[in-house]
Amino acid sequence: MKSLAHIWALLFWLFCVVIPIVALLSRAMHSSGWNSLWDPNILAISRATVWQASWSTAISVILGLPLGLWVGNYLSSGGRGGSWAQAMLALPFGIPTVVAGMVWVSWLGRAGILSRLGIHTELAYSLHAVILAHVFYNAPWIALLVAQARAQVPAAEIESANSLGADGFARMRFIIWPRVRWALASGAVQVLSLCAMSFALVLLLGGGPPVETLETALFGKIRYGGLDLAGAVSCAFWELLITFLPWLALIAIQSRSRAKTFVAVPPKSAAHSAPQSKVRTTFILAVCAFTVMPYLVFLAEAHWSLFWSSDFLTQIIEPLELTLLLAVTSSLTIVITAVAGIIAVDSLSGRLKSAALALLGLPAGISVLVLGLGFWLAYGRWIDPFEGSFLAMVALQTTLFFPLAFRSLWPVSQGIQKRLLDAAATLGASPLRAFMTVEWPRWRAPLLSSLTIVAGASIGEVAAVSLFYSERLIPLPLIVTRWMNQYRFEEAQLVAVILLILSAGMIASMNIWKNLEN
Amino acid sequence: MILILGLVCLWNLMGSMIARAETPDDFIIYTYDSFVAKGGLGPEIFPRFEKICGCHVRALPSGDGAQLLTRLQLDAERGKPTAHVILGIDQQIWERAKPLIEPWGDWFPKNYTHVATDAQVGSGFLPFDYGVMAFMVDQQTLDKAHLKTPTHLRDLLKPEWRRNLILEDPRTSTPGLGFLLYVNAALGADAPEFWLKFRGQWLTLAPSWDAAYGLFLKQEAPLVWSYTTSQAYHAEHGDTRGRYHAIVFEEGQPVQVEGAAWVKGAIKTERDRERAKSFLDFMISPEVQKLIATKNWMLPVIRNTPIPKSFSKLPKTSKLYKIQGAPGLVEKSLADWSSALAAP
Repeated sequence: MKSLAHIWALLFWLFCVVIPIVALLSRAMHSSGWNSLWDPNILAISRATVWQASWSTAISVILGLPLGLWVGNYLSSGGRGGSWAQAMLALPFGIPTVVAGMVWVSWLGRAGILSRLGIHTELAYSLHAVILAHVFYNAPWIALLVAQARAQVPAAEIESANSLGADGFARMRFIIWPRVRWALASGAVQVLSLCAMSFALVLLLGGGPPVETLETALFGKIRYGGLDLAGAVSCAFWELLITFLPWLALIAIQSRSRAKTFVAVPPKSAAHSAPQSKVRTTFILAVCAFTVMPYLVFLAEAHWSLFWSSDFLTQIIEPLELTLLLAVTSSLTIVITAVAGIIAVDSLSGRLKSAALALLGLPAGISVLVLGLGFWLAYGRWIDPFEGSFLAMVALQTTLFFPLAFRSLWPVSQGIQKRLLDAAATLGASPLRAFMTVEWPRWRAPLLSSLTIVAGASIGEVAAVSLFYSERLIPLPLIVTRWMNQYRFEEAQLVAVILLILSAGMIASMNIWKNLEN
Repeated sequence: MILILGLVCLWNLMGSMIARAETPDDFIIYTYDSFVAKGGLGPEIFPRFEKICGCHVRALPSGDGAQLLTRLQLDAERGKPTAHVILGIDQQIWERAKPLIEPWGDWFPKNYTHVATDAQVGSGFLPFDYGVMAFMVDQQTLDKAHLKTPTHLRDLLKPEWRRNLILEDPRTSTPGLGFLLYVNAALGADAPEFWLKFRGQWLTLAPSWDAAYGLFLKQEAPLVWSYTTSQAYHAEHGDTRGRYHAIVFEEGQPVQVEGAAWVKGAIKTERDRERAKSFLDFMISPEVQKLIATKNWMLPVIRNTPIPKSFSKLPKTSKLYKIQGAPGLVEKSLADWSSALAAP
């Protein structure tokens, strides 16, 4: 089992990350070396990227931390709306960025909802709009991670501290903070990466230069047949540095720290059930719903009458099937790869383990455009991108979303109950039975949660699919731009709404299922 | 549940893929996305050409026109050209595409002499349609903002136009690049100064034409950089009062000519060559040209091709800028534009 995991993780790393990157680097070196690395324009965009991503992350943390602590406190006391609160916090993360961009234009635009309500703002098409959209996207995600970590704090510890006279600050400092800090740090690093690599939101809401990121600059480098690979690699290099350094720093700090666990979803029995007032539950759900509200209003703006036209349905049915199939295949591959990666890294020790941990987080900092180009250059002789390649789409999405699943599941793996497993083995249980009895209840929810979140993200993913689609393999997100190019704006908006429902529905359905099970 | 759904999708998808993959003897065309989409020109004309050539046309879409060239280059990079013909490349990037294009030699397509002179680009490039780029006006939004239609390019620098127009980003959009090259050509030495003053005027630089036009239709701004033919589209779709109309400037307007060309290294046999010739003949035949207006929302290149009334009412311009991006021109223009925007 372990050797299989090693092989799987190694093959993934080699074929999906190393070979494409090496192919691209060698081609870039052949063209014009590293001169463009110090191009003042690229350096200026790098600074702008850091500035924008830092602000977006800081505000997301400032809002997400207290919200997460509050919701976590509610979860730990066994509140009945807990699953719903978690579902709502997870929802924004699964919303396609193109759809999110359209949603914010609907809100902030000159003819948008706020304007119609008499609130005139020039916020749209500025850095502020980009940061606002990023915060609405990421603060709930930070809150979710913090809430899950907070819920893990045993109620008995807090009660003991109370009985010993600890005040709120002391409880936070000595009991809660050590349990949530790594969840917060891990989430913040993830958010920083996402904001630094932001593409669609920056293009739609930024209003053009000087509001741009390295990702948007990179896109410009490979347009118009210029194929400025050296420029593209330089953008990718700085982007990688911006996103990877915080991750490295986090791993270094963690490895020095005694507390090595970030988050672990609590077993059901850990929750201390206490009666919750309806007012509190309603209030918490209302606040969580506020994070989803901007996207829900978009549903009302869709031209639903078009949905019933047979022409519309005929044209979306195959793209819809492909999108769902891609989501299922990619999410399964991603989660299997993440578990294999965890098993492989966990079997290592010392610095080797830290290095492997860092390297497996590397894809989170690599632009999908760079990876896609690398795929083309490395495998172009065998895979014809014009013919469309489902396999390449799955591989690229796996590389893209693997770090998300890996970082979500890694903390769960660190809470493995070895003594109980050993005890089960001593009593004669097979390794599989011991795992299913002791560990599976702890893994099931995080695994399903990762599966649905990456499936939701896959549904709205545009970059990877746009590199390997063809006329017979065209997923739903590409239908949006295709129809807009044919002046079919209303139908395109309806497709965007369908994407929103699919990705959000995927995440919500998992939580409904959890609710029913409870 | 998810697994069952996935399996059902897989079953259906495999079925359709296998059915489509069984056609030998293909004639392969690289083209842009909206050309092959349902309702576009491709689904109308490809079956007709199949009857002519007795082959199966496989159209491989690749985003928009600018991405076509990138894909052609990547194809050359891997040393495996697949398509016989590239369809939808425009004159702005033609010079850069030339090294990847199979020359015609002495041959010229039938009807080529009837191609409008303004649309001719050179041997190897077969123009099949063209469009005049221009600002589209939403009269209703314009009236609300108490603005008057601009008549000169420099009018856009006036304070009243601040944040009242939508452009496309020249780095990511072909019309956006068209506007940049047009300003530089029309204003010459004054262009850098224009860009310095103009940089705060636009509401947004949208990543693509569709994103810009979508914002325009949502009444975000009264002006958007598009094509004069957008006016015809609205007229054909119920805009009887002329709410949406194109405007032309005294300085003239840029033209975008879309063309077809043979891909270097892909025409291997005499049969391929005959088909490729036949396809170019077909693209400027009356049969295709009469469909251009309402299926691709562009203008036919063959003189005297019948067009709908809405197209004959489009505003005429005194001067057309047919900018052919000489090697280095696009890079230099983009670099100068970036510098002007970054200047303090």
